[in-house]
Amino acid sequence: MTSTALSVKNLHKSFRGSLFESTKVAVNDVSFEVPLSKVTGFVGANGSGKTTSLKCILDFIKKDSGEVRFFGDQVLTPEVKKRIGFFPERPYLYEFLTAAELLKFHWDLAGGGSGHADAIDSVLKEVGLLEVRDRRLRTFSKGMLQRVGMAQAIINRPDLLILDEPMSGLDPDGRFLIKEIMRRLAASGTTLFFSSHLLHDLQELCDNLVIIDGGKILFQGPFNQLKESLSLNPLMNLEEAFQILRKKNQVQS
Amino acid sequence: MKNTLILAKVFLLELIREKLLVVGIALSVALSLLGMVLGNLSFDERSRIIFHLSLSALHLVSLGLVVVFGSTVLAKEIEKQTCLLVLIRPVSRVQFYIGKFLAISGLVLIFQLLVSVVIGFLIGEELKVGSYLMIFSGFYLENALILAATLFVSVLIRPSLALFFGVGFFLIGNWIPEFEFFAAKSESFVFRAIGSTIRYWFPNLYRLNWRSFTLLNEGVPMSDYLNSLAHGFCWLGLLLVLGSWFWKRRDLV
Repeated sequence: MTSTALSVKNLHKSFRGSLFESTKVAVNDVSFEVPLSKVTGFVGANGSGKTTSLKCILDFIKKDSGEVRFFGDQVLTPEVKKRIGFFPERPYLYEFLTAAELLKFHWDLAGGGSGHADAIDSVLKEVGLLEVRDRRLRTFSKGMLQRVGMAQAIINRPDLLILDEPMSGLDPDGRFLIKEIMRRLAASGTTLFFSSHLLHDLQELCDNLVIIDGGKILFQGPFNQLKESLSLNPLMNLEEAFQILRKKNQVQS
Repeated sequence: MKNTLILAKVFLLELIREKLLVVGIALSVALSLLGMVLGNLSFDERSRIIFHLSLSALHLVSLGLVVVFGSTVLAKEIEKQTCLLVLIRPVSRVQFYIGKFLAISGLVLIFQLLVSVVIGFLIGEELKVGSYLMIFSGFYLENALILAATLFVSVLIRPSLALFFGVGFFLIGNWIPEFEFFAAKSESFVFRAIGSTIRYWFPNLYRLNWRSFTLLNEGVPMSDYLNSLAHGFCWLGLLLVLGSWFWKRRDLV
């Protein structure tokens, strides 16, 4: 029985600049693991390499080198994809569809089979959008689109849910709802791996942290372990600890 | 295959809801009606005038649909990042690419069928169904080829350039016989060399245009018809393989 939902080894990605620009290294030798049935936060400032890492992991961007494995030792095959959900930073959806049509589309692609009507209604109820199931997405507000995005991510009841900045740009009600869903999923044993720069949310939700800065991993492990390794006050919050860790790393490099 | 069809269905729905099809149909019907008005001024060429103008509308509006959609659909998916939510499902990039191709081909088929109904209605019993089906299939295959070429280059270059490429592909493909003829008479070695090799670089789209046979009241020889279809399908296969190969390797950023 494997204990990791995701394992990344020596991931490297650089982007070629234009004619007179040098190559920019976005992700540099990144290695980390996401334990099964835990909530792991991917912490970093804007431009630190979080989204590029996630896109390399999910094969949206071709990595230069490195290894990505899911659920032990499996690469990203269609069978593995059936066990994964993804919620991007800005969930742009097919706005010509209604909420129910979009979820049916994702249900079919995920190989859901029969019983889609119940699954769609159940997931729409979960995100509080059952009333507007037959409305076109182009009439939805940003918060509603974010919730539909969450609904499509969990429609196939994934074992591993990867979220890129799930709370960004949401109003307090929306953030509360997304956090509630994440808590519920975590309690049911779903592995959550989410990137964010909202450190308060990360501290509140995560069992485990992976901290990235300038394309390099600075730390991975539980928050308490971070405080111990930096000999910090046990009452210190993640925001302060994150700043100290970054400064320490900048001095060292 | 099942997922490709699911994708094609939703992509087709998107294209239909964009309403460009309605504009194309309105334009074609307007030209057909113009043909009817002009045809009534003629003594005995009524059917031929209606037929010629309607087929021109069908030919050119189909070209418009394939180059506009072919050059923009993939870029739009990348720009809005909507493809990420699809590709995280058990769907390969090749299936996604073929799904787009089938959707636009499906739209063109719907358009051509609707215009054909109008042509049939205006011309009535004088329309030779067998010949018309040959002309119809030739136009359809020509548009599929232009679509495959435009989709392919849209993976590599900007949509606006891909659109110009699509139009250029149509023009060059239809000019090949004339080009070869004039090149053979040229004194320039370079021009003659281009003229004698161009058939290997471009599909000869003129081979798929059998409109004049009907105008001359001649049937299309079956061997010519089958040879031309084989020529078209070989090029279509090549362009689809090339396009999906590059799409598979492209970073979705």
